[in-house]
Amino acid sequence: MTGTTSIGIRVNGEDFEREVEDRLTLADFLRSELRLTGTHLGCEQGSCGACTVLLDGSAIRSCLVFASQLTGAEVTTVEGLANQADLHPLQSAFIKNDALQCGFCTPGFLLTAVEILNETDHADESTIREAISGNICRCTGYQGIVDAIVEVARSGSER
Amino acid sequence: MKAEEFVRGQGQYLADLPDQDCLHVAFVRSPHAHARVGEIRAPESSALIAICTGADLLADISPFRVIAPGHLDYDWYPLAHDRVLFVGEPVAAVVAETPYIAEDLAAEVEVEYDPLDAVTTLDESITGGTVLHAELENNVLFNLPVNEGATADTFAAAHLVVEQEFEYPRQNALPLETRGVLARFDPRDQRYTVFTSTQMPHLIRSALSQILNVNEDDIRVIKPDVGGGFGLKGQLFPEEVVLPALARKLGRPLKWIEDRRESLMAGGHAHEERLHLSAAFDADGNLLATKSLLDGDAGAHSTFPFGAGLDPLTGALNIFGAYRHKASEFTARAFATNKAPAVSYRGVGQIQSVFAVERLMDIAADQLKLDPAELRKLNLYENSEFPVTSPGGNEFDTGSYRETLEIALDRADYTGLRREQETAREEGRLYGIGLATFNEVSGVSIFGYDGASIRIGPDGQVRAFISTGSSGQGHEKVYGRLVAEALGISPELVRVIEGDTDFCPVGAGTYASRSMVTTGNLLESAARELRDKILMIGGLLLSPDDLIPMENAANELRIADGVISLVREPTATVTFEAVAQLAHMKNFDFPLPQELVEAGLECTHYEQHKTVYSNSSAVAAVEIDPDTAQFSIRRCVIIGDCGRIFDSSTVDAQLVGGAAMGLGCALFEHLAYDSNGQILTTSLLDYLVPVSTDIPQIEIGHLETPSTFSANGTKGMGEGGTMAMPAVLANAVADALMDKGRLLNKIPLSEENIFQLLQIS
Ligand code: FES
Ligand code: FES
Repeated sequence: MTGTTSIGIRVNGEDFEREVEDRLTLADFLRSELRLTGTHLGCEQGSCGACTVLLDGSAIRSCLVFASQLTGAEVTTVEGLANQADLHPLQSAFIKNDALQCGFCTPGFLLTAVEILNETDHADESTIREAISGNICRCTGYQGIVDAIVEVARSGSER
Repeated sequence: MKAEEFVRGQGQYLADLPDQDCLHVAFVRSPHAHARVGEIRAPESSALIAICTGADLLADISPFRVIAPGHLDYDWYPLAHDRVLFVGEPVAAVVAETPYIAEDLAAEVEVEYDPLDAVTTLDESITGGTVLHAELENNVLFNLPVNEGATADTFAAAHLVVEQEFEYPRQNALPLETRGVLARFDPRDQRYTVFTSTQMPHLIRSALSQILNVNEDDIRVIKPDVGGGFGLKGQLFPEEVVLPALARKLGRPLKWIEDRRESLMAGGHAHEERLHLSAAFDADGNLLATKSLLDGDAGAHSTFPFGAGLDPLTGALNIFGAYRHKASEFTARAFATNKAPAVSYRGVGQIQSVFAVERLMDIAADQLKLDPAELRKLNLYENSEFPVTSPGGNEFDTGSYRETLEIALDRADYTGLRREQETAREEGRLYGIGLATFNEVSGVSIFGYDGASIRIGPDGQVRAFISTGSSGQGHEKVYGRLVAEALGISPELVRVIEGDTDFCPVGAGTYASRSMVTTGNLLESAARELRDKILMIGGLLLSPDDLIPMENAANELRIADGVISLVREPTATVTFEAVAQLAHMKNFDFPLPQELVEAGLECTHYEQHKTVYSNSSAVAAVEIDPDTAQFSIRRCVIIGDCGRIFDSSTVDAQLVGGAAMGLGCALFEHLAYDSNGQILTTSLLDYLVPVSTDIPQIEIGHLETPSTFSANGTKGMGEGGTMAMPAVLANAVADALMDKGRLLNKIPLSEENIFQLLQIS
């Protein structure tokens, strides 16, 4: 068995203090400790992108980092994107452009897309295609996802 | 709305179910392809709550036989019985407080193995030196010859016979969500509740009732949100048995989530097949007769419900289906090997046969000195020929076989592409054009019927209960609208409920692109019946003295946007909600006649649907880089016809998503084993699936030739895009390779395989 560490972490704007097992991944911490189950696990090998969250603003794979190393960090998950009533523009654009079917990959793509929009001002289709190529979707063939992100990038309405 | 839940991260997939009171299970799996299992020693640890071996489990279950037509059956056990038959086969289950601890403990379990010779190829299995199942005489798990000898005379007299063997690799459907099970047993009412990530809750319940020796009614199977299935989640897996059995024994709810490694190793393989095809032609290029031998590599077991013959049989039954010919014979067989059991994966059986048949048509065109498009046009059924009974005995409803090809050729500018090819060849570039055209079995009811039930509550809320289950096909959206339209009310009032055996009518589930054809029809007919009833009650409220009989209701009354009126007096209206209230009770001043009370506002319909046939045609142009043996796709057009289209965005999404999946099947998806039966592809770094940058522009289009076999005119539309890709790309690559391409007979179209062809001098 491994040791434990106490951490203080801010998730979706809320502060949490927890004692965690050293080997607990951030993904499992979010899912089982905080019951934020919108962060999905498709491989736990770092290669599908389903578990993508924002860690201090950068999109990372939460199955590859340990929660115990994250004291002081700030994390955004899919649950932190929308206000109560209003969807994030990316969330609306995903629905409108048929960017999802089973929805399992969706949270990972959304957070990857948030990073793209934060980093590049006028991302075009090929930049976006490249930037999401680390995320796997088995249902859609990606076209709807690309279209949705392009649409939001064009409108410049990202927050 | 489901989509909104999903983008908010509020979907509830198996792993997301509340599990605070659950213990967690990890499986000890065989590292050997074939071995006798000896002693199993549990680690000495206070953290180990329980361990269950195959022998322990025998006290709680009955062995199970997969009884499917044409299959040779033997006893199947969810945990290895005395021998393990594939790498990854579960040998024992370990229970602990957390998944992390359960996995640690599983790794510490010591199992004695006595390795045996492994059968890892079809040839080794056919030779039968080692027989895997002691109850069987050889490794044949399925064997069905049809029309034996029926084509001999035609072949003997034919102008041209083309013959070729083809290979299709082992693949994994790889839904992004792996499988998982959460099982509870309630000692008070002695009932099991099994949550499982499946496409067929009722069939799982049937199998569990036999294996656990309890009534079906004592088991409730619930399918939560499912993160993709693609066929893989359409059968019974060992873990679905072990968890409920152990949950009862331990008196605690149990949870298990498959990891990706387990999934690639043991969670359902598919598609591996060898096809030997022959076709006879007359001098004009008319196809006369076909003969096919399809051998599937079923892996270690026949799986429930479809059995080992699923791929070869599905392919054989409709082989050469799109082409007019007089005589056909085929044999479909499946063999046991020491690999993970084969299950279904989108394109079942047909992805292989379409690839092989379409390659053979190109080879024939070459020998007949005909353009591949001309040879196809000559032999494809014309729209006016339907209904057709194929030489294999299938009844084809309707179709636009030749028409879709003509449209695809037109859309892709076939003549322009050929001109481009000429220029490219003059410049020494390897540029090729491929065609593929085929029909597709859908709406099959292999296992019983389907049901749909609609219930209208006193407040006018409508619930539709269906026996098929969504794993991303958009059922809620499409069916909600369908019911609302048929009833004449707002879609907001309708909720679609699926995947819970306590509420939903019995039915076979979602597979073979069947849902719209079966459930769609049933919901529409049930909704119509209810609408007439609503109209009658509405009529009674509007004109209390005169009860309009059911058969006249639709003529004399109208309902639109939830408002009912008499045709002869449209200004007087009554609302749908008022009718719903009256139908349920509480209007003592206005008693309903007995005939209207009895039926209530509830209607359930069942049916066993007749198979319907969709069709598609595709054109692709590719260019191969001779240095890297990689190719790029210059053009790709797919025209599909799935009968009447109810929701075009859902159909488009299925076609495009299906084509992307088919691209993966064509280019890289390949589960590899070494000669000892060790699996080499256990992560997403070895088993590649398409990512956004792999997908070319895929141009799609639809024709709508309604089926005459389904009341709503629809046909299945989930697999055409998938099946098209290996065939059309293989033909394009072969064409680019010119003479060397003649030998292209296997998928995937990997650099390695193309490189080999380039080396031929
Ligand atoms: S689950 Fe983290 S990358 Fe796949
Ligand atoms: S929507 Fe199913 S994996 Fe992307």
